[in-house]
Amino acid sequence: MNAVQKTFWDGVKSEIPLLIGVVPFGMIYGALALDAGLSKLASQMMSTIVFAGSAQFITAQLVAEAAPAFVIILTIAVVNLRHMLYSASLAPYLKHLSIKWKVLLSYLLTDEAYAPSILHYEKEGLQKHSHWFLFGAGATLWVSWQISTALGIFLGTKIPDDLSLDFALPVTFIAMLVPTLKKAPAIASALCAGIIALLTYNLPFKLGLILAALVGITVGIVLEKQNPQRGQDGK
Amino acid sequence: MFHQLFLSAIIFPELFIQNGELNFQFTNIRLLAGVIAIVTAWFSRNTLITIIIGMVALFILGSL
Repeated sequence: MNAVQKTFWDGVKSEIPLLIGVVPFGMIYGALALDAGLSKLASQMMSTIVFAGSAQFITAQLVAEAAPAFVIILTIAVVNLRHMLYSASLAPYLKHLSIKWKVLLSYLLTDEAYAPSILHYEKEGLQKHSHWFLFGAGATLWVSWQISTALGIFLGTKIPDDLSLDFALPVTFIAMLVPTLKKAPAIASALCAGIIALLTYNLPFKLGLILAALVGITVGIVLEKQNPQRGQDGK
Repeated sequence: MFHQLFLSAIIFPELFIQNGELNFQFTNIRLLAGVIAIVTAWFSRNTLITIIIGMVALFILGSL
């Protein structure tokens, strides 16, 4: 095996343990997107084009609530802002690549591909074929996400229409949100965002969602500034 | 951080608003099931277990 192949397969192998969480999630996404009113093709194409779990779940929810396109686009743009931080931290290892490679790796960059790749790069440093590691991890995730989405869509068509799955999306959001709330400022800002969302529920175009996030961000920043120690120690 | 806030802003109305109105009462089974899911998520820190418990809770509360 040459160096390119070895780096690629190391990336693939680093991704495999993460698939235990990803595959069921992809299946749930497929079934719920269908239940939210997206067509089979749209549900599958969202996994191919958007290729970002939480953004896809939120889009499905907003489509079900008939939110206008600009609110969906704005929401997803903000939700995916974290990818800028991922890209910036990977840049030292990838900046020498051609634009084609950068486009491909940007497309494949997700939370699950970023995590093993940055660990690998920080340990091994920049090497000639480093980018094949991220490619291996990202491609493995991509294939798994497409297949698990397709399985979920297939299972979704088997679920009887009278069995209401509309609660599954909010429960999924609870499952995604609560384990990430560790620090007091994060909990406070999430609570504020939730309460503002309740108070502004009747605003047109789901604008309450944007307002709630803005208030939540402000509260989070103010609390972090007031209490920097508690913000940094993690728990 | 940003995606947490949007999740929270989606979750609250889903749990508290029934037929277009705020409902804080115990007859609101989505609120009860949601609280069960939140407690499960807090202690288990496991996504799949939370989804399963939350859905089962709603199903059981709905059939009581």
